[in-house]
Amino acid sequence: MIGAIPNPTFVEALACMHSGGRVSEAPELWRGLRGLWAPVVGVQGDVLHDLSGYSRDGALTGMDIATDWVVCSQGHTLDFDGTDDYIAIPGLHLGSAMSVITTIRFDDLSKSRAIVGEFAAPGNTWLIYYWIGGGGDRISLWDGSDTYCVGPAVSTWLELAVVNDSHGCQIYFDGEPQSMNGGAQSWSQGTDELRIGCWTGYYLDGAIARLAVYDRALSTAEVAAHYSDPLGMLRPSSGLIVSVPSGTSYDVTIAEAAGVADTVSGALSAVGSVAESASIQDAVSGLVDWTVTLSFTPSIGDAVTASAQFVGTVAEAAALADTVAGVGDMTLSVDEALGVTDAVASLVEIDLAVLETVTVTCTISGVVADQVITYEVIQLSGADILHTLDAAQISLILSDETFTLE
Amino acid sequence: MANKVLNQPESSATLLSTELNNLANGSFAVDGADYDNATNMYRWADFELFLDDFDAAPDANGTFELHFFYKLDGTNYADGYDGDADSDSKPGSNTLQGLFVVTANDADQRIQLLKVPLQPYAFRACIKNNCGQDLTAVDTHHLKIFPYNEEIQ
Repeated sequence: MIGAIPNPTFVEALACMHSGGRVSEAPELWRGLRGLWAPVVGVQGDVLHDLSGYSRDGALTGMDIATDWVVCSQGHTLDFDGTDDYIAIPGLHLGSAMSVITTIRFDDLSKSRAIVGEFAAPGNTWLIYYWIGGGGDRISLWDGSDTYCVGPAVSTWLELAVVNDSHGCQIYFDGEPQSMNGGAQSWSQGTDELRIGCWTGYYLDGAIARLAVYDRALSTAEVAAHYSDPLGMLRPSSGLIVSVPSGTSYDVTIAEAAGVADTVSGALSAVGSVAESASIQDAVSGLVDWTVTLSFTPSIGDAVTASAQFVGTVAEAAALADTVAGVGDMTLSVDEALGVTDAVASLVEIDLAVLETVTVTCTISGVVADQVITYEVIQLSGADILHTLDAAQISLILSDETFTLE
Repeated sequence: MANKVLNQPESSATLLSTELNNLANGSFAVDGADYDNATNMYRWADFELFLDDFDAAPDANGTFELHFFYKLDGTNYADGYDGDADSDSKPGSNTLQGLFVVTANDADQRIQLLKVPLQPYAFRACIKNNCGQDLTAVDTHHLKIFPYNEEIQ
């Protein structure tokens, strides 16, 4: 459904187009794509740009660009008046193996309405349309005769998919296959233009948010993918993913402004850092000889974990609760302003026969004169104890203001 | 402490100015000089189109198209025609980078276009007028680029 995730911008849609869909969130849906028109990514003047990469831009015909670009629950859409509005698209000639998917709303179903079709001579033509009349209302794929299902509701947004090849024709409403009457349709590739919203005397009264055309039959799973996120194929994937090759030494830094969740992972001798400004939840993990530095400013609870040979630092501005935990040789530190509760924990098997030092350092800044600071060392008890930290192994570094320890 | 980031703006530049004078509806203007992103290698750019102003009020929801012709081989511009990036170029979907949408107002219009991805090659910018009106003959129209990078070390 459009609207479940923010719509991509026109610029973002172009970025997906220029890459042939490879940078999009749904690159698999670009296979066989022959036309993609999406009013929903923003106003485009008197041209409806083809975002498939095939340059089949549509000309708004009989339409008023000042009033027919309409903002609704889907975002921007194009409104068709049912009288003379349509979009003319040159040079798109589909054979009988094809799929059409559109996000559409019918505002009036009191008479038959064209949706999209190739405006050509009989035998070279096809049309997807709404029919009302003898036999009851229906959505139909027509090649001279109809294959159809029962028609949709008026004034409701519908994700309509029509899939046809030599095995048959299937129509879907909102990702669900409908009960069909009739079999596969066939025609030869035509030579005339594609029209959205018009066929000799039939005009669409409603709105279209997007329309995609394929030269192959989509699978049921692909139709469902379109329904669950109709604009994923026009949304560039977000977030950097950096994988450090095993057995190599590698330095990784990801530095971003905001709004992206990152993953940094590595196997051997990896050094990674993530530096961000706000509102990010990151996961940083490594196996051996792994050094991680996280630096954030506000409003995030961070977690850093490692299995061995771990050096971890969490440095933040204020108001965050952090957890730093590891197993094995460790140097852990937390550097923050006051008013924050942190936990610094070494979990198991700190063996002094192997390990010489476990250092836990808290550096507290922002101390004001005569401020009371409390700290507490909580340790395991009973048989689980392998070592008890004494005072010499706890380093508490305070700023150079006057303070009182309790 | 790890380094902070950095969405650092770089130096802006004017790509088109007098070339936009009297730009007719349906016509385009191409920058006469390269923007050398082969050297700068900026990753993103914002753009400002300043229209000052029109022969008459443009169409509401009319557009100005922003196109780039990249000089991928260091010599020829991928302009859809003979590679000269001049008046016979063929700006199309392949070169389109974004749209500036105007209002039906015969007055100054300063319009932004944000986060356009850049490729690491020199290019020439092109503006196509599709707003329904000509721009005024002699004025202070301009297209400016405001590049920036996300820091990746």
